[in-house]
Amino acid sequence: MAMLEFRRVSKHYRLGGHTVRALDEVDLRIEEGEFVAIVGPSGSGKSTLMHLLGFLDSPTSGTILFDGMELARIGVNRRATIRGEKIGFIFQSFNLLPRLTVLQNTLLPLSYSRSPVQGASKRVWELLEQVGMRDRAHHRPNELSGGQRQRVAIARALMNNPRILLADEPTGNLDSQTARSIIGLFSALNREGRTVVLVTHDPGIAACSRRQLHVLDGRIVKEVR
Amino acid sequence: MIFLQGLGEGIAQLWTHKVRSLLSISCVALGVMSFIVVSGLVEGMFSGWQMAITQIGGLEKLTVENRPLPAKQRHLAGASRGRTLEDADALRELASFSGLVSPEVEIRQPISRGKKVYHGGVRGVLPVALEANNLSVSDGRFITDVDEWNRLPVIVLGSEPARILFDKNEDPLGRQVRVQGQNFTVVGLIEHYEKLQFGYNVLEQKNRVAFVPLSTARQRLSRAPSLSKLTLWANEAGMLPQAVDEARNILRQTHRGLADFDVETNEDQFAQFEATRRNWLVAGAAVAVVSLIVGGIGIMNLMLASIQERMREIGLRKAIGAWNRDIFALFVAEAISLTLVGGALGILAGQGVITVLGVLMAKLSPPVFSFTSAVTGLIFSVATGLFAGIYPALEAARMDPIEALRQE
Ligand SMILES: Nc1ncnc2c1ncn2[C@@H]1O[C@H](COP(=O)(O)OP(=O)(O)OP(=O)(O)O)[C@@H](O)[C@H]1O
Ligand SMILES: [Mg+2]
Repeated sequence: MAMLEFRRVSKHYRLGGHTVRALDEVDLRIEEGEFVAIVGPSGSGKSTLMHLLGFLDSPTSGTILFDGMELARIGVNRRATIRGEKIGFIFQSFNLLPRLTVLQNTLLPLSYSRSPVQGASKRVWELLEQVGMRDRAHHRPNELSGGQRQRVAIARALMNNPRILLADEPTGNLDSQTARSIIGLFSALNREGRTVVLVTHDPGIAACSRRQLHVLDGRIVKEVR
Repeated sequence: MIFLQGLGEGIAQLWTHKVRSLLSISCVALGVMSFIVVSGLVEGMFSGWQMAITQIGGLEKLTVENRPLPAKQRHLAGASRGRTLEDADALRELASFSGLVSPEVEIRQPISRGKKVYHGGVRGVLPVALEANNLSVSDGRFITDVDEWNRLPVIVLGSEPARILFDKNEDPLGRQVRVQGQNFTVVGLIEHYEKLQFGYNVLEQKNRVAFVPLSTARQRLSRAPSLSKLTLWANEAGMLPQAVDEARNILRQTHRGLADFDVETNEDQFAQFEATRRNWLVAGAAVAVVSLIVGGIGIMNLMLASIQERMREIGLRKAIGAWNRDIFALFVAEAISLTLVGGALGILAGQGVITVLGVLMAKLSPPVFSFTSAVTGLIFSVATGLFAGIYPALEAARMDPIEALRQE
């Protein structure tokens, strides 16, 4: 059974008189442990696809299955809990809370975890170690570089030990050197067995993945393994 | 848990936007402050009143007062004799709901001794007056039945006339004083009463007394047939209405149907005190409510602005698993933490104002800071936070996470 499965999934937006087909009858399966890169021009529907993969949005039509569960049958709160516990999000603009320290930002997902997390205080230090931010634990985001902020965001995404990491242009705001080290981090996480899906414009980065989906006008037009 | 986190967030927000936050919580602070000061003033006044009420004899006291005759009895005016000893005797013998009956004639004449003069007047009373007026004798004795029967020229002095008429080293007992050209022998002294409240002896009235036997007063000092005061005490405060009815019935007999009297209680005064107190409290609460509403609107505005600024934060929290109700609780808690800080500042300011007024009003009835009003103020401010936070928090909770994350 695929971990995530899309069956003829569409997302349409009505803008004024006409309909924008941000996603058009997409079929897709993502298995546990995969490293998938989604590439495509701006406005092609990559972010829309990510939001649907991450339960942040509901499709206009079609079926989304997570572990065989149909998204449409899951209530709003349960969806939020699945997001919090099974999915880790990483954004282009990091989205760290400026008032919180690195440590507090990393711990934030625990506030919304409905199942008890054992050994969280030990785990948070291991994660900060893993992303190389342990010695910055008490700094605030505005004291960090872009690459460092993204490392903290990755540690935060890993806090609840999710099964899948969704990263929407995680290196879009970073220089190429920093970008490579972040992608290195994703590769390492994938080698540990974690499923990773990332959106990127950079063909070099896409080449690091084992499967590339090319999106154009809301459709997956090409797949490279 | 999430609520506590929200409270912490609120304080942190307040700290990051000090000026903006202080401005918007100042109305809440003012509201709570004015409530605390007004209720402090009212309580201060009321504690003075309570003292005054015990001074005038407590709730069990009934006074018989003269009344002008009603129109249809006006032609009988010549038959009206006012309050008489006969009334007092009838009440003493017949009343079952009342115990003590104390008739009195007031003689507005100075007491003199050589060049020393006391102008407070003399009261002709029965032995029961000692108990009735809640006094005790410090030296010698009070008026006795023997004095009364024999109309003896004896006098009992309170500490104030004693101080004025005698030197410190003189013993007043057995000495003579003069009233209306007649000699009276001092046979007793009333205890000195003192309860200082901010430099003012609230019990001073108990010291300004001079008593002679009622019969002596009526024979030697005043020829008037009527009494100047007729007071009786109900056995229980709870039986007051019955005691009043009974006294009226008895007096109707002795007055032969003339409605030239009435029986009054302190209840009316109590009621009036209570009404005044309530009016003031309502006025204070009204001021507080108005400023809390204004303050609440300010807080609501602040929260709406804060939510606009923090849309991405809301989106992020939803992305990492927050339920809508968590977001709601977070922002309500933030609003409450703001108004709580406002309330706390208001309490401190109110306490300060009360302290200053206490010094300025030392001779009057100074306001008192009460714990109850502080707690009420805090409850008010929490309610304001709730009222101000609910709408912005609902807006935040309803936000679509994708829209929220898309914000720049
Ligand atoms: N809320 C919305 N309302 C209307 N149209 C929308 C909305 N969100 C996305 N779209 C449209 O859907 C299409 C796909 O958008 P999407 O954000 O998925 O593109 P993208 O591939 O992520 O682009 P980029 O590389 O610039 O991030 C675009 O044409 C966009 O204008
Ligand atoms: Mg995008």
